[in-house]
Amino acid sequence: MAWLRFLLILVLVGSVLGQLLIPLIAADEGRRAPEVSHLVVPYSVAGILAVACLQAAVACIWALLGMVESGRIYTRRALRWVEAIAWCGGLAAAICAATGAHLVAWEGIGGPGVVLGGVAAVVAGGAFVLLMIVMRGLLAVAISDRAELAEVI
Amino acid sequence: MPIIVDLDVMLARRKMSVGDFALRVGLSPANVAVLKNGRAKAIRFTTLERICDVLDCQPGDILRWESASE
Repeated sequence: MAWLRFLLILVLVGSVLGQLLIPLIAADEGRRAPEVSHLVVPYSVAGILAVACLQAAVACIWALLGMVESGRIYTRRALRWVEAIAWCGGLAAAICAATGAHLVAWEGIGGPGVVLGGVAAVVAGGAFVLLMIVMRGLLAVAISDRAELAEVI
Repeated sequence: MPIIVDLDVMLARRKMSVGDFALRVGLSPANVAVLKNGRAKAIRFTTLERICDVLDCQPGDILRWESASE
């Protein structure tokens, strides 16, 4: 568990550094290609928000880890954290896909790479959300089984 | 509740206090209260075994079925 917490902290620190880098990279890109300079601020915000979703998911995993350690994982509170992780994953994928779609459809720039990236975000995000829904179902069944067993004297 | 737990009768017959019974069977007083009040939904065979051992009786002496329509 300690190792997992250490890894989560590492991911959090890394993601914060990433959030700091996003506007710098975007500004650099804007200087090199002045025709997209108006996109620097909104796309930086989108990037930071997408990474924030990851951070929120990491925080949820942290909370679930605490529940496992204290033996409260089989309570209905745990379901909410799992739901939150699913929402975070879905939101991050939606932000990535929407940004890609905006770049291609509205701005009319970006090639097949951007389209592929958007599709990949939708597929990966959708798969992640579905997986989390299955996990939530498993947890819900385990919780009700546990509650039933607790009534046995 | 169609299955009745007649723990009171058996305890009175053996002249055993609830606290003593709980201690000897290894149940918490709260669980003994649940059994006595008829709120129990399930009981382990191992628990039933210890109860029968402590009270020196058969399961039929403490468990009784009653028709739900009564």
